[in-house]
Amino acid sequence: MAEVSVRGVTMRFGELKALDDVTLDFVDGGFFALLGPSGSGKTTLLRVIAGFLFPDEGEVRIAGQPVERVPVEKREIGMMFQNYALFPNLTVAENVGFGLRVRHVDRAEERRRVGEVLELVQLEGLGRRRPKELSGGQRQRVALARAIVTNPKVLLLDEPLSALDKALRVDMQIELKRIQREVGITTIFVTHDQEEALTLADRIGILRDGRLVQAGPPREVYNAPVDSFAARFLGEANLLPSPLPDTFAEGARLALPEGAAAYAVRPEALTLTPTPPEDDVNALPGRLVQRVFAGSMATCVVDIGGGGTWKVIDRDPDLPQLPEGAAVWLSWDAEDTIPIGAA
Amino acid sequence: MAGTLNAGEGRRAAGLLAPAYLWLTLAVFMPLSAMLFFSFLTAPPFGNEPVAATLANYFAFFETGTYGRLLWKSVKLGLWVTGLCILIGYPCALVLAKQIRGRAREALFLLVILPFWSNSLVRIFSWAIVLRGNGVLERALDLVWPGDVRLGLMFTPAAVVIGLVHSYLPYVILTSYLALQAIDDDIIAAARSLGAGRLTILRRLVLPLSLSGLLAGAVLIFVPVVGSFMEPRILGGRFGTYYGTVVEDQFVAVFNWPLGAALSFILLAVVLLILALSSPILRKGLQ
Ligand SMILES: Nc1ncnc2c1ncn2[C@@H]1O[C@H](COP(=O)(O)OP(=O)(O)O)[C@@H](O)[C@H]1O
Ligand SMILES: [Mg+2]
Repeated sequence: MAEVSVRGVTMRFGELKALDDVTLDFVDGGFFALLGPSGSGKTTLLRVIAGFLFPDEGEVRIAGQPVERVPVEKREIGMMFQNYALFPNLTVAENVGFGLRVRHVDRAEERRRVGEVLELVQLEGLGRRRPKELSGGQRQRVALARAIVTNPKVLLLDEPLSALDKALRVDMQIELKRIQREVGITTIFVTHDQEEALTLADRIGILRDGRLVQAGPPREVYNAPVDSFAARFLGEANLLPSPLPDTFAEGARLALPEGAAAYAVRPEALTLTPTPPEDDVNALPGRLVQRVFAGSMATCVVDIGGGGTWKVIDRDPDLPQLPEGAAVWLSWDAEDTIPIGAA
Repeated sequence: MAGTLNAGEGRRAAGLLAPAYLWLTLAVFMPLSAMLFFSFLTAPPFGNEPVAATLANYFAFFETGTYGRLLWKSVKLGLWVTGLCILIGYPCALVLAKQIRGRAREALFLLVILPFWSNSLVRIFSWAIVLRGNGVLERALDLVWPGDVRLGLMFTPAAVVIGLVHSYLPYVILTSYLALQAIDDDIIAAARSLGAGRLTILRRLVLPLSLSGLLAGAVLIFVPVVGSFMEPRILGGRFGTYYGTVVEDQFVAVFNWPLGAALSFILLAVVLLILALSSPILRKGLQ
């Protein structure tokens, strides 16, 4: 267990800068989620930290030691791969014990620790099976057990849950969080699923085109995104440009704080009404385009004249059924306006 | 699968498969049964001599030690050639499958397959030109080596081995390459992340996971090499008498087809026996 820090790391593949001057700190024992769209450099950053790739510029430290030229075999990391990468010719116990065998741990000790960690991932008794005799979720657990049995300094996971179906994925998220807490290992988790990041991580970082857009606790990034990309990537956001164009939503009542490059409003902060709201709040007139029920709430799409379409999560589905195409008002409290960037 | 077919489908499947079975019958079983038939005759049925049934051709194998010795010599040749093909071919396949990417890989692949495209006689005579005294190899070595070079490789068992290894190398490279190609790169990455060095990865993962391909290549080489006659004859000179050349002699020189056929079937039986005896070991290796 250790803290990891990445300073000014740049990684080029020919002309392409897969990582561009990335600086990030991962605290000891923390659970960090790296978020970003496909091709943004998440895997590359993970591979630089693991030691599969040596960065062209910058520094990587694990437990204070510079390691950017240390190959992966010597870094004492644990890694979990998207397709689990279990060794198909070995049994579960041999898979999990592989790292211990490499370190010449004696057989009795190996058996003890393999048993311990299989218990931790709730696979006791399956040691003699081969990977192909396991379900997806069980393979997942074997991969995790194999990665943590050597007490690595840091656990790296590259979209480890993306191959599982939705229900199993949620179970595994809870399980992963429990195990991470129990072991207390510094964990860096790559995902393109923002919900997953919010469920698991105590800190998140958002990558875009190889650059770090923003990093911090999920709440902070959610409530104060540094730009419209961060606002839209973590949760959904309706954007208001600044200054507003002349054609923007005729009849709007807006009181926006000064000095921001743009404003964002979260769909769940909006209230949908058929008539103009009476209180002194921000309000926009629009036309209802679509309304989809999802159990306790409805997701609505509203066309704002000159301002594109806005998404609204309406938690009051008892509201009189409005026909699609009806004139509606969107309103929100002043404190729900999120200013983005400086003008 | 076959059990789930209804009658109509079964008839259609049989119809579709018929050409394949017909071909198999004509191309494999007919010549083989003809040979089996010959092997029990006193003389070829198309000569002037009277023909009778006999087991004498099979007994001939045991009457002198010569055939047994030659068969053992050919088996040893098979082991040598197979072993060398594995030693050279497997590392080549490993590099080809795991180190080289893109264009370079295609080019190298072409080079590997090239021997397949040339006529085997041309190939063997090319080796004769290269290996003979004062031939291409000795002259080339003369250029870089001070003093007179006398390798004397031509007409030795070594020349036979070189010629055969060259002919059969592509088999083991191709079969191993296919097996190695199927190993996910992430498996190797995972082993590295667990601290394993190259040798450990080779011994515990790559070799076991590609063993099926390696063994397939080995069988593909061993079987024909034990019966080979062209390379021994052209490159082996007075050392070039092997089981295969003796069998060939019965057909083209002595015209004793029945003896040639009987010797061939003994060879087939011995090769099958060797494969059957080694298959438990091989199967264990594949676990
Ligand atoms: N080995 C490589 N060679 C060339 N380009 C690469 C290589 N690995 C990744 N890239 C490129 O770098 C960028 C970032 O890739 P990656 O880190 O895999 O993104 P992510 O994991 O966020 O989807 C992509 O444009 C990708 O095509
Ligand atoms: Mg990726």
